[in-house]
Amino acid sequence: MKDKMNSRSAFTLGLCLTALVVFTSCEKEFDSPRGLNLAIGDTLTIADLAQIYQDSGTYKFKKDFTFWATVTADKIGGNFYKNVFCEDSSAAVNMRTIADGGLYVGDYFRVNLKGSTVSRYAGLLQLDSVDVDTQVIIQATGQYIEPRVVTINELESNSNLIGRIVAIENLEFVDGDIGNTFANPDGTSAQNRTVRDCDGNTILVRTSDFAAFAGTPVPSGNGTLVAIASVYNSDYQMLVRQPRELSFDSLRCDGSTGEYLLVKNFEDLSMTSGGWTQQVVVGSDSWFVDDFGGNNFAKATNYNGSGNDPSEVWLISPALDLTGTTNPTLRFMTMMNFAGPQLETYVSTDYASLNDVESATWNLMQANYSPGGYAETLSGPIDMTNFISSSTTVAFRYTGTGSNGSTWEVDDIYVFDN
Amino acid sequence: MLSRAPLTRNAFLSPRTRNSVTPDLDSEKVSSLDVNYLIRYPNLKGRLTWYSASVKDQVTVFTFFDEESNSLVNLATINVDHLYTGIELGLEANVTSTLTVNGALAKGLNIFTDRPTVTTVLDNSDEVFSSQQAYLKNYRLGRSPQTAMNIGFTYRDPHYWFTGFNYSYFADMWIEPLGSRRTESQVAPLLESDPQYDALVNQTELDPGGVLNFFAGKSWRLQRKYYLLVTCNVSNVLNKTDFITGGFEQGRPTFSNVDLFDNRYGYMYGRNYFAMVRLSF
Repeated sequence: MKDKMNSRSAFTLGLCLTALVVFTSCEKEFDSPRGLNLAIGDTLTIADLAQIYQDSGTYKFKKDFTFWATVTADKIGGNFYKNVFCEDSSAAVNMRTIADGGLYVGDYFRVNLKGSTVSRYAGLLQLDSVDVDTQVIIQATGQYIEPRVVTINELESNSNLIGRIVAIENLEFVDGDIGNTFANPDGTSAQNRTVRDCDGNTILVRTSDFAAFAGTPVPSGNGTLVAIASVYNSDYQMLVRQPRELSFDSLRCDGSTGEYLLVKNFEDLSMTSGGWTQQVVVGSDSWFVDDFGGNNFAKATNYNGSGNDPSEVWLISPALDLTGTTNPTLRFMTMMNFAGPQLETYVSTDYASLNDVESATWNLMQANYSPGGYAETLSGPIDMTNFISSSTTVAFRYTGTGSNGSTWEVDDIYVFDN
Repeated sequence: MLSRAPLTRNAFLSPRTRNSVTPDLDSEKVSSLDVNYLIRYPNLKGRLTWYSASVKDQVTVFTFFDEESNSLVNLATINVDHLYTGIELGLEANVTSTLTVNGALAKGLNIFTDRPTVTTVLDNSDEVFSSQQAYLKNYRLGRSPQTAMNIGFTYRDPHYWFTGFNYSYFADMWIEPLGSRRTESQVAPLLESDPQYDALVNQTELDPGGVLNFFAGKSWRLQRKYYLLVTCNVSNVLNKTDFITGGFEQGRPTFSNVDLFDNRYGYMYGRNYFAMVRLSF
């Protein structure tokens, strides 16, 4: 009896397991709606885009062509507005988008070309009017492309490199650009700076005045530049993504360090940081930090709200040790408005020991000052070779009378060995 | 075959605002069949069931804010056909006079059997925004696990107390697919190799998981006429709170922002205690 039960149980269990196996084997495939259907030939490379332009000039795509590429430059950093650079293994293209953003460095994407136009602008291959929201399908993020190491000569002789992210080694900004910022902050146009290699080949570094680093002084050492290689007619231009990608921290070609001896841009909102001082000779006005459009600077005025007060106030740098320099150079920006006495710039080699404005020997320097209307003016470079000492001081003298007085603003004060 | 009228909330598009009836409204048809095999021995009881039920022409209405039409929309899904089929097995064995072991296994296949029609109606204007087929055939239904197992042990002491535990395991749990994400117009700009295609169309399967429950009790007879019973239960003894028990898809994702509105999930409660005292007289 018991044996019979066990065999019946075993039969039952066996039946169940068989049913399970039979049952689970009838899994069915999921339904799926049909997506975009691309014919062979509708898939392009960036080199194909260039060929289409070469064959038929400016061309607007009217059907679903597509290519895959990786972003190498984006809006972060502010140097690229409503455009990104992207490349595939065949070539690179500058893609101009209807809105800013949406595509970032390292994004591997597919773009549907329908509605977009391929052209060349001053030699640079461009894809125009791309709507990132509807035409771009991001496939993956974080696919960063390693910059190709090239030389200036290679870049200028190989058009396939244009638009790509490249690295050029052993570059430095030319002497005339040391002390300059990448572009004029709050300026009106982009600026070209020049870098050279130690063989004397040069190439431009072009930066938008809207770049976050437009007001950053160019690095003065020698090193590797990582940037997008671009072209404007016959000029090759390097477009910097972020200034930290310029590792210019080696000795310059002539063996000098190229270090800045004095940097004062007031962005820390301090009048005194770095050892700066003021001395009031007449009246009670003094220099103070003010800002315009996100940029900070030192400002002096003798206007009291209803009239002018007689004023004389000096803004004085820390003592600089210029021994060991060959061609120390001063550079600063000025902005001015309203009629009044001229701002004056002085250099002294004995102020540091006397510590008294009136008894120190001050040498008046010739500078190119702002003409008024708060026009931003580069005042310099000013040669300080005649004042090399172990404690050289730079000072700005503001004066105003009881009947008039200008408002003077000073910013981005640099001394460097040129 | 059974005919069933749709629920009021599915028969009207937006009963809060207007008297519009869901387009092509129909009653749903249900047919079912099941076969049972029962075994009964002194120390073993069991039951094996095979079942199959089909529901046709179901109607659902779902209201949400739609980015594409920039409006609150009523999404009416009609001609929804479901099939529920599977087997169930239950066994209970008395191993000794005091120890009972029970086990259960259910393996189902609950799927859509056709492509329903999804109609999007703007809530403000009653305008039909789009009406198209949803590619849902053979997608799994959500709501409940389609594979479930249970095993339990109960010890009953002759001195009127008992204790035991059971462990339940769930698998084949799916998030119910939303028709509006699986239409041709929704994926028209996408290649099937684009990751966004899979993200829109693929059905989410939840990780399988189990839960352990414990119970114990004792009864007393007082003055020969009253009975006092004390029981306590601890459910989810292992305090497993990362187990997703269900969820739903959102209607808002489009091909260009698939990640913006992700699925919403519900999780299992942590350890729960329940105690009861009962006096019978």
